[in-house]
Amino acid sequence: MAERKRRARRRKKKPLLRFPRRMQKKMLFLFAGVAMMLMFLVGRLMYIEHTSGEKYQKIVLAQQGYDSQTIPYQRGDIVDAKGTVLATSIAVYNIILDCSVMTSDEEYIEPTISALTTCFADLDSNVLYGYAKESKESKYIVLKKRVSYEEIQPFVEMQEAKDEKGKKVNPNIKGVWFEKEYQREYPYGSLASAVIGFTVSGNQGINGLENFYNEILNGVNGREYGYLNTDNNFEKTIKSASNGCTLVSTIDASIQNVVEKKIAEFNEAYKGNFRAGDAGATHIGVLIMDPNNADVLAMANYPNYDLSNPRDLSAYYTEEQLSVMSEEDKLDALNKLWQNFCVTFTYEPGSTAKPFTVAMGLDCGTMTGDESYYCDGFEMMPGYPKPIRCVNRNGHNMETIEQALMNSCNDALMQMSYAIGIEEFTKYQQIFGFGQKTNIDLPGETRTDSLIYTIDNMTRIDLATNSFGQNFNTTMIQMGTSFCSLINGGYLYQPHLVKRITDERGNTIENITPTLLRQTISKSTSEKVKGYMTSTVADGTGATAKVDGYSMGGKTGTAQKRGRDGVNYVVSFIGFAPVDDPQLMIYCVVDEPNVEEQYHSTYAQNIAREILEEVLPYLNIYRDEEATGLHAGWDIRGEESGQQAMTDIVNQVTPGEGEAQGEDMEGALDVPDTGDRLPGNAEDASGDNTAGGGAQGDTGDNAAGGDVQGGLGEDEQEPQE
Amino acid sequence: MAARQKKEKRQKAIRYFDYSLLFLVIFLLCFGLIMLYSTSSYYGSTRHDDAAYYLKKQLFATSLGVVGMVFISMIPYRFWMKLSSLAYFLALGLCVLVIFAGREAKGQSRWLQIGPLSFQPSEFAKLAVILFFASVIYKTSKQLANWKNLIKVGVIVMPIFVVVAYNNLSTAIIIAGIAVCMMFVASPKYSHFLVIGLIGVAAVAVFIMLAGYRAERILIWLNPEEYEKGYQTLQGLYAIGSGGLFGKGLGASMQKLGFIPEAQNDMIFSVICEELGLFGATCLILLYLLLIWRFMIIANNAADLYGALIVVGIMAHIAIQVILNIAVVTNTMPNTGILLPFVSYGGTSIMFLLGEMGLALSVSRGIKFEVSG
Repeated sequence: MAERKRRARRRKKKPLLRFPRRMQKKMLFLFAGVAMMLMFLVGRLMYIEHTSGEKYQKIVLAQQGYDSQTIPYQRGDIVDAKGTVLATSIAVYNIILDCSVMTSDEEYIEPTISALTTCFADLDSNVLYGYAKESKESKYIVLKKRVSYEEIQPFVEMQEAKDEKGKKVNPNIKGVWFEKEYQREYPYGSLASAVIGFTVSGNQGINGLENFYNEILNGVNGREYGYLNTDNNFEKTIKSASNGCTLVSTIDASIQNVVEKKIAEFNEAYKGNFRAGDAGATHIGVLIMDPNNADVLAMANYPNYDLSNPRDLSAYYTEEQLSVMSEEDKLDALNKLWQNFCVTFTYEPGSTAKPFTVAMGLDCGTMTGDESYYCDGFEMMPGYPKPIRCVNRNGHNMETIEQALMNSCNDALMQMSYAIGIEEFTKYQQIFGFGQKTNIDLPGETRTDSLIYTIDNMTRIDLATNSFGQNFNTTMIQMGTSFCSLINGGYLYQPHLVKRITDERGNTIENITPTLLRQTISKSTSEKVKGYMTSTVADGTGATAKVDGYSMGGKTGTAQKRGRDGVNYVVSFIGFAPVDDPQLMIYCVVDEPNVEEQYHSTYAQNIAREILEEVLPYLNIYRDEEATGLHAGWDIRGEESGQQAMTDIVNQVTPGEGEAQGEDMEGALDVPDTGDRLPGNAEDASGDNTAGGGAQGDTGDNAAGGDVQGGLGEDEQEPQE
Repeated sequence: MAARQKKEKRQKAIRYFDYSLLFLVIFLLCFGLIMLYSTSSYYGSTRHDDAAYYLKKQLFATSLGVVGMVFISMIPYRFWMKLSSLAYFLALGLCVLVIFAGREAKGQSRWLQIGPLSFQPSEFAKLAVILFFASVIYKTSKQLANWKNLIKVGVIVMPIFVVVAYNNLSTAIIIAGIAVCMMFVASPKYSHFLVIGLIGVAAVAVFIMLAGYRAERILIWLNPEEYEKGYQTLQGLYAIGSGGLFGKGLGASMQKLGFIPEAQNDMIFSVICEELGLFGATCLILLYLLLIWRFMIIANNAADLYGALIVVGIMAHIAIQVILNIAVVTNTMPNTGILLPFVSYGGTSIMFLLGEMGLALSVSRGIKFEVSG
């Protein structure tokens, strides 16, 4: 009815009926009520602010997570001269469960756990449900460590999977995240193990370049952290990690590979040959350098180890042996295993020192090169009851210097040393670097300063025996470095293994150029000595090492080990090719070859020849001589095995014919042991027969404990006989 | 004379439109979206890999709502009178349906899934009740003076109240509040409503006694520190308290970083307090008061009682939600899930709110100037 009335009014264009006055009043009442309530709430806000504002502000700040998270840096790579990666760090992930997130909603638990168990087969769902029940509040449970990127992908895909509408397929997988970490990897296993070294947790390098360049390889961790700025506002900041630098080594992985392959072949050939259960030799070391700058191209030794698994002794000990070894024994064994033979092992070099003696004589002017010497087969020394014999008991008769080297004649060398004299001899030993560290960029290089004579304590008999490389100790790297100066015109460089340091993107940060230390001998002396050594390989004792078609020089060595028991020898060969412009220096040392008669340097020569046959062509060094089919069909044992054995017997019966067969057995004869008077040897009366220098680095995360054990520092030395 | 006639004609040609209300709504919408983005960006980026996830959804609902508002504001509101009963029964039906076929979320089924969109029937129920109740009271306004008729009218909203209360008590309370306010304005009496108020308080008390979990809520309300479930309330209070007079600045809230659960929903006011301080919060409250004042003006000048009553309902709706929301956030009353109009995240809510604004604008359009002289 009211409506009809209203319509009628409108039709009559009379003023419309307004909202009744009483209702307007009520409306105002309502509005007033609302306004009062709102004002009350404003008052309530003020009250809260006034009474608890400061307290709440503190609580708010206190409940912020200030704990920062580390962003790990990536340790730099080690690459060889050609860029082959020898050591690298790859990202791995720890699977972390934030249980408080997963249990924040019942709906999350089942999908999350089933996703985890499907993607990571070794996770046990019962254990996970246990976490969900008992560790609800736990925010950090490590489910699995060091999982590769590929392995976590199925889970990430499952979590991120979206249907065609862009909606997540599994929205209830919650609370799982991956913590990034880097793990060191060595793609070539044991290749160059002694040079590269390995790392223990925390990117701490043990041994080798990993240790020496530890600081350069390591970067700086980044951080993600929260803090309060000056206005008491919470800020989150990410400081990204700066990754470590990459080392470009002078090592050529291909050459290194050939060297290690040949060492392994030798081992295989002579394994258990004489001493049952022993390897092909107690130690084998091979060093290849570029004589023009002392870049180390290859440095290998036996025994070596797998860099990815450096604590594995199973390659050298049987399970029964390992089971009875104490932790300390194992540690000792590992420390020995981790040695870099080429820089820590000290030994008497034997006849490979003869070219140095000749060079001294020529360079100091007491010899002209035209001398000839009469070898009667022995030399009597005052104060030594027995004659010091030459390799040929009947004597070599009259010899030139060249012939003396070719025959490796001790008698002639002794006569030369008298001409040089103690003063010049010790001076030149210093010039050549004997008794000094080479300062190669490797840890643990052994000091030899107390293992050579000085002008004050050298006697005539010492001089005489030193002239053919007995009674003073060297390391392989010393010999190799010094020998480079003999053949490159007299330039002694500091040997090094790293030629460039680059950042993670390959930009060069530092070029390490060869450091020229001094001139050792004159160029003409160098030429003369090179010529003598060329003849030695062509027609003398070093003939076994000759590679067909290449001009080569070199010198063999057979050193009686201390004790002079006539059983244990260090045999070696040091050589170079090509003669006109030496591109390569090879030094091969075999410590106690596993044969009945160790005094044949052919063991070292065979290894050297086999290596050079492959390495010379690889280095693009062309044949500079007519190929004659020499040594065709020879292997690591030399000639066909049967014939080789025959030759050995012949040599033994009639040592006088040895040199004609290219044999070199000067050390087989009585050499007086005067080394006891050397301070370095006197200290070591116990006669530890292992490589010196001590182990570098600690035992890292070894279960036995984190103590540094067996860690003889660089400044200590533990020489051996 | 001719000039005067001309002037009169021009004055009659002026059609009123409440631009103040429109601008207030637009301002609140923009403010709400900014605050929503600020509040929800953390949850958006951690849970949905998109800081603007909630903003986008809200923006979509708001756009639809604005279109609806403009459309509804152009339709003469009396058109809805004929549809009001239909709307009421439709709302009733949907609210029953949602109990059986609703989408479960956090233990309560409040959403109806229609294709990709989800829809909360209880929001629609509020609008339906306003329209329906306005037409009922419009027809019976004269008789509301006695108890009998008052109860008769009240009984009409009982079914929807019960159905909504079944799983969403807070919305049911809002619906009851809207109904009571509309009856209060229409009735000539005051005393009746004092009694209704007392009955209401008693009913709430009984309700609390009946259900244990509601009693627990009271205990949490009194001592939020001592209960695990008081966490949300407490975190909201920390936010309010730490804001200070002018706040930490827009976007600088720390409490929204995972401490206040679902901060973009019921608790958004606490984040506003934290970021904009007491000053900002008071300004927002004043904005709401201004909005409510505009509703009063429109109702008082509405062309007819029906329009006025619609606006009364809308005003009651907004006022109740604002008051209850802020009361909950400041722990002035026990926790219950009520959204802050125009600001809180909720697509259905914002769409129907804008529909209501359209209605209010439509009523304002009906206002005629009384030409004096």
